[in-house]
Amino acid sequence: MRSPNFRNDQTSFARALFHPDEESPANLVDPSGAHAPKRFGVYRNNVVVSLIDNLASTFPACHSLVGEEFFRALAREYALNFPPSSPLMIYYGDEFSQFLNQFKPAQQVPFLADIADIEYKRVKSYHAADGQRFNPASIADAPQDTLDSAKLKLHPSFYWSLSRFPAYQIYARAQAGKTLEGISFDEAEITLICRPEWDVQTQSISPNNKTALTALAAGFSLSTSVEIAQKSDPEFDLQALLTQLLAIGAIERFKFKSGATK
Amino acid sequence: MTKAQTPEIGVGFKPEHFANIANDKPNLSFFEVHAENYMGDGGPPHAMLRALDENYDLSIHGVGLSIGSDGPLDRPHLMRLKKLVDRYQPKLVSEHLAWSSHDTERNMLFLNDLLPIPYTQRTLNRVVEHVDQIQETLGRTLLMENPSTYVAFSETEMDEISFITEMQKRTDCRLILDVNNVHISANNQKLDAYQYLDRFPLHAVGEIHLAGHATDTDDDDAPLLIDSHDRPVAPPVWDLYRYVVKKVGIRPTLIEWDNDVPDWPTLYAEAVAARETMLTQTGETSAHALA
Ligand SMILES: [Fe+2]
Repeated sequence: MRSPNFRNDQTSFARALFHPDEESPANLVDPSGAHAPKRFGVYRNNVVVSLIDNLASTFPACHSLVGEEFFRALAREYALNFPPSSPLMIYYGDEFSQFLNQFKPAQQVPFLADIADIEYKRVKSYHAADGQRFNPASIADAPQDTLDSAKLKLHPSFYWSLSRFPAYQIYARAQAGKTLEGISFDEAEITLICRPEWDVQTQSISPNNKTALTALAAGFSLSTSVEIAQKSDPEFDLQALLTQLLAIGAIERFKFKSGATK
Repeated sequence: MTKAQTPEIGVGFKPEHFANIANDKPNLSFFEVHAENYMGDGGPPHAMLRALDENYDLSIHGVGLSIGSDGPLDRPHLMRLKKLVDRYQPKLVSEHLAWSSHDTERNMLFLNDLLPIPYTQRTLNRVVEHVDQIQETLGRTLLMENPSTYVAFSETEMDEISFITEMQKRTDCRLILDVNNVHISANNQKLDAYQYLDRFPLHAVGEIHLAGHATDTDDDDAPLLIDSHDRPVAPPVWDLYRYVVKKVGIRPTLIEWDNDVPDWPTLYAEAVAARETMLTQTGETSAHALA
């Protein structure tokens, strides 16, 4: 008798899990030896439901914005088309925001992808390496010219998310179980995300900070970042941005030119 | 004078119970965590694990190594497990007799479930090879858990007990005996759970699992039990537990409750019930063990 090919069996098992319309593998039987599609259906259901549940816990604001039924339909579509590629389920959903941007039915709620982006970054922030608290004494007596050429060492749990919608306000309302009444949807917004201590914090800042934030995060000095930002926005105020970054714990320290950290 | 053996009772740790545990310092021996939930770099998961580690033993229970895969082990994932195990030096490290990852031609697919394997010479060789590799990499003994299953395979060459016995002998691993899984599989595979336990290599059992299950129906509308971990341990599972404990004596016992997680007092009450059962069955008294 030919020994059955285990590898091919796992291939057909895995394939059948994600194709509910296809028959269950013929070698799966009940104790009497009869083909058992309903028994196989338990695995089919477990796998897809576990992925949907995982997404529901990673994207609670999206879930509450569109409601249980619609969210689960979106999550099912995502799970079937973008199944996990690693056992690290804590990070599952990395393409959910992009998926929502492209998947037609999700576009009924045009800001949904941006809310998903905030929520996924919150998860990454939650699991990020522990960082340090900013020590104000470290810049207390730095001369202005040194400070100008300083760069930022950002906290490892710091992320930000830009939206052409007021995504932070929407996110916060959804999380508080409130309606979106009164929000003007044509305002852009940047959401800062950081975990300075135990809890992940989110905070909103003006979209004008986009250029400077991009420059600072890319490792440009404070003065260069201001220069770049002022090209498009002559009024740009770095002080205000730094204050907001410090408030959420996004800055670990200033790195001074000599390479020595004050 | 010989000291009375204290039953080692643990529960599966859920972050929502952290504050209760930190305040109450419950009388438990260990907490078990799913390895993969602690493979991030930092943050509250590790802060909580460090705090638990100060007062309790830890048990790291992997759900992602896919030991039953016919393809090679996921090396990067094994190294992640090694990093975690090296960092916390837990009392127990365990995994499952199941598969969950599949290497397609294009990419790796993780199926997020503990899927069944057929019991054949070929799968046995592969599982033994994987368990050997893991034990070698971690530099310690692995505990392997008996599965709950919903289907059988037409290519089966041996029964589950023969497979587990042989796997244990050849790898010298230890075993988790999940009594709920025994109850589920016995029902679903139309076996006698007590006969199963009589044949199980009990000498190698290093931990017992208890959990709740749900009831569905199979293709013939007969009851099919589902390993749902979403409710209290069922009476017939407690009966099996009493039977096992009477045979093997005191062994670390874990309450698993992973879905519809209850409040802390409800979960703790299950652990207390397990302790009482173990004391009664092994002839120890509560007062004795707590002295
Ligand atoms: Fe278990």
